[in-house]
Amino acid sequence: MERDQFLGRVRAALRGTRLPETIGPDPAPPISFGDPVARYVVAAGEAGAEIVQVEGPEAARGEIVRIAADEAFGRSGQAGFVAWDGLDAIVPGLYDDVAEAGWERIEASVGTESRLDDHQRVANASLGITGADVAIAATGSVVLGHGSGRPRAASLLVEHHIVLLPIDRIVASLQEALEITDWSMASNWVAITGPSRTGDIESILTLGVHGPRTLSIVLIR
Amino acid sequence: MTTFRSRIQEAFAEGVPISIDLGARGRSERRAAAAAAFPQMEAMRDRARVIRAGTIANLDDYLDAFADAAQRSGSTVFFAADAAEARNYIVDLARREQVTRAVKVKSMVTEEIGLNAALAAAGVETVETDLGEFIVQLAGETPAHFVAPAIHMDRYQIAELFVDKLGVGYTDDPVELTGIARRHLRPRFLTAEMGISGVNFGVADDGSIALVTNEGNGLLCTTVPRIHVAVMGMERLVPTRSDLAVMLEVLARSASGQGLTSYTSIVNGPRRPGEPDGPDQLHLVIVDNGRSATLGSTVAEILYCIRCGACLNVCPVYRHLGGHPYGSVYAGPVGAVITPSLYGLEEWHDLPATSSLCGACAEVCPVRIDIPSLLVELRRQSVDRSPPSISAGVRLFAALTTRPRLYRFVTRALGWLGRLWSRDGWMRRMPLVLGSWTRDRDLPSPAAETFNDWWRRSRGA
Repeated sequence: MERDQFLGRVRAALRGTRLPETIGPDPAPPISFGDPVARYVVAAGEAGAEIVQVEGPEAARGEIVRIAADEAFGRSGQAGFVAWDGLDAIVPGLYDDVAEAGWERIEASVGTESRLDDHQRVANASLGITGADVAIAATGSVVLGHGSGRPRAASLLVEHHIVLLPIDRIVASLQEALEITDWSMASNWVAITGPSRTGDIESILTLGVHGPRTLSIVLIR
Repeated sequence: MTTFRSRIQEAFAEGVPISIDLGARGRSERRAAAAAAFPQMEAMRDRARVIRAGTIANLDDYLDAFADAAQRSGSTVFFAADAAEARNYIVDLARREQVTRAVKVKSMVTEEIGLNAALAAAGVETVETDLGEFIVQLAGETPAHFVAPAIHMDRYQIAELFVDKLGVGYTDDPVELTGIARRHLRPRFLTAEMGISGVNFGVADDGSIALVTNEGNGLLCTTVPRIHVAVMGMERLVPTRSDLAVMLEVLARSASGQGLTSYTSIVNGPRRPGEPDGPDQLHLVIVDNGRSATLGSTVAEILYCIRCGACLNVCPVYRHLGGHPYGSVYAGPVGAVITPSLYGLEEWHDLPATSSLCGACAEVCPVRIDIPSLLVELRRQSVDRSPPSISAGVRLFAALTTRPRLYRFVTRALGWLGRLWSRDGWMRRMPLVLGSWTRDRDLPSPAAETFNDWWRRSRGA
């Protein structure tokens, strides 16, 4: 159906109703915390994420290498990782150190023509390392904007997802996160709260359905 | 067509699985805990209702703005007047693009329009990827709940189903069963040409859509395949991003007791030049299919619904029946309003009639829809259209109650007859039309004294 025709039907229907007219000016109730970082740590933990708090980039590098080495331990082959570009600006030397821990970086770009093959290749990665644009204290979420140099696969197709989170990215609420984010920057955003989960079988909580089984957040003070 | 009564009797004859009551109860307890732990919950619900009401009252303008904005960000927008138009558009697209396999995110509106069958008829293998929906699809059934489609099956049934349909070894461990589904579905994600999702909310001022899943399948379906088709009921809009935040706050808590659903995606068009991954095309299919008729009706408020399923979880009728006897993809208290308003009261008048009007649904509704009043309104309409025998009965009752002397005489006489008819204090089988009442339940024997007589006597004392 043409848009005009479709909207015409809606308009005609609205003429016959007695619904209230507009959205009132009252804002949504505000959400704030005395210590947003402390709240974030608790909420992310409750959501099932593993939180590691470190002081400065050096310590962050050490933790990431430790996590990567633990994850690589006992793994036969397939020690590939995908990562966002530019993370070495937060933690210098990051990519080399992870490579030294036994991981091979996999190029995550997917071509239009070679799409199937590229996805097969990317799906071999079992470790993903990303940053986060903003994090939400109320729920323990990380918000990721995907775009150039920031493949979605890094937080999605892997078994273990590591997020580098500088402490100043934490805001109180989802409302605040959505308001300060420049949405025009990317076509796809995701707020991730804990690892992938389901309760579809007898409401029993099971982690790691289609997305990562483990979500590690390295909180850098 | 079968009646609600016959479907209920059939369900009772087979035995309604206890997992429905347990699952619904567990979900309502988690919702209550999440609401109690969130001091802003009640104010947030007030705000959510205001947002939904204002959006629906100006839906024409918001739809217009939404479509413009979505097109600007590179999406293709199609307006579907009914289910057939929506199906045909998607099937034609699949043919044109030579799609052989589609992966799907669980969505009520795609169930409503019967998309899977249409794609199957066109030779497109369509795979449900939400674990519960995948189980239901393997079993050849329809979802029994908005949010927990396989709520009616226990782990042992699912284990047998996987052995039977997937050829795996028997395990009834939920973690292992989930692992089996993950391994079965992963290659299908990677080879599907089309990903199909619903839309939790469309944001009118920038044309983006929000999609929530706990499993991560939503993000997979909208990332890996080269075409993303998002199907949206036309009422699922909010004006701005701030409004979206409010809706997401109440949706997650009401649906599953979480502060936020594990993966809350906001999609704003297909992938752009320079982006490493994502779909090359995004098609938005906006569906009316009876909604504009609902909008013009006295139950327009039902369009505020955000499909969280909270009212199903607390409903005594739903807990005893599950979703299937409702006979439509929309079950439970909201379903009893949505189904007749979309598909006609004539055929579905028995859904609103089957409710105790206890009001538990209205208490938990995140957008405070007054569901009991809407049920009563639909009952009123169906009585207006009901056969003369019923309206004659109502007229007789009215004639009786407006004539006090006659009323006293008749109630005394009926009481006497009733006691005569009783055995051990109960009337087990009533004659004639009254028999339909005692078919399912016994009636206590009438008191020895009518209320009127008792009142006169005791007031005097």
